[in-house]
Amino acid sequence: MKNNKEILNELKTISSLLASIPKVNVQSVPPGYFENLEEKLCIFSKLNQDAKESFKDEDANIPEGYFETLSDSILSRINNNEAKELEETFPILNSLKDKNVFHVPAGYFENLNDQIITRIKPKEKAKVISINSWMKYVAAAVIAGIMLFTSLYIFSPGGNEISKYLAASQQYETSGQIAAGLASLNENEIINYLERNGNITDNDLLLKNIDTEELPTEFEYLIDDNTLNKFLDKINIEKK
Amino acid sequence: MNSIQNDQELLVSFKDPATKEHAFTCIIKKYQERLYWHIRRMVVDHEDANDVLQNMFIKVWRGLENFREDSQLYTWLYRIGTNEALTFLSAQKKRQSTSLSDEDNGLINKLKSDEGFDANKLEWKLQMGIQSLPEKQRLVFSLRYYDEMPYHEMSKILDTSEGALKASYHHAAKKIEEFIINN
Repeated sequence: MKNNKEILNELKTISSLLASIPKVNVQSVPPGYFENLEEKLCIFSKLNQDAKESFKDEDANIPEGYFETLSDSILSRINNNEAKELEETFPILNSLKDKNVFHVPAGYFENLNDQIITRIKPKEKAKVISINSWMKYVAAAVIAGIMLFTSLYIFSPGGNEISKYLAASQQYETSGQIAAGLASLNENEIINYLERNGNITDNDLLLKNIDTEELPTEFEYLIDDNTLNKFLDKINIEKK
Repeated sequence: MNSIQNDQELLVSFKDPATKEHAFTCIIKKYQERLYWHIRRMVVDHEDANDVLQNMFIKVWRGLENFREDSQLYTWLYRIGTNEALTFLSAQKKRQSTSLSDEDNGLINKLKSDEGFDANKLEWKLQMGIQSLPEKQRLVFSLRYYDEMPYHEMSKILDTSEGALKASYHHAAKKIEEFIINN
């Protein structure tokens, strides 16, 4: 009651008219509504089978198959309303909706699957051993740093996979190509390369600042190409 | 409901080494056309769309085992496809070292170079209008107009509120109509 008085006083300071109007609820609910509400909510949240079972004995007036088709009926109504919205608001756009001006080479979709599987298979075979996922990030960070900021001439040309990758990376134009190139490397090659060429100071600095609990997941890395940079920024490792 | 069940079955099959490749093939076949057209509308050119789509599916192959099943596979695929298309456009923009408006003109030029292009036909005017939009509006318009995606699903893909998406779609549709009327 104390709160009510406070709220009423507050309202009086804002509007004496509103405060003078008695609090009467002009809306009503069907008798017994709240007694069965929880049960009904449970039933409707499950929709199909459970709902059908619950109603079977209580209400024989529900048409057969009602709950099986309920979600489809609702979705259909939503879609119809949306289609109508476009038709009424933007008639020109609506009239053009089904006209596709773009062409796709014949048989493209039939062959796409094979092209993708062909690109995946050799990379799977190339994996010989697995290293800890956090080590991959350290390795990728060091390689990326070296690749971006060190001149190519210090590496011996054409020797191992890494030097081939570094040479090829000069032609890469998209982050997708860089990611594909990195993924094609044998992990043993990465480890050997880092042992030969990695900057020990940088590795120590990275390892000192990394809490393995905070490392991005592989999922985050796949979704956002900037995940690695963001992580390095977060731990204040200066990117050379 | 069937598509959700099928996706769940496919995800279970993908985790079994014996059926992994078959499950992945089914996922590609099921979603390839929708994703292709989503990407194609963003990047315009077929070869670019093909590169982006293939790279996208390779990322899906690598990331699907860690896919958190609290979201729908379909939403997750659109998210990766969208991200890949935007990354591609961003890289293209940097490569060309041009301003945003010039980049947009680049997409319009790609449309004009299509062998079937006809500036007098309404359907091509529509495409020109779409490509004249800012990137985010173009994306929202495409997902709504062509993919008929509900706002709540679009919201998960683009990390934007439903209200902002509705406003964005309305602005985009208005601008395109104006473009068509004035050109």
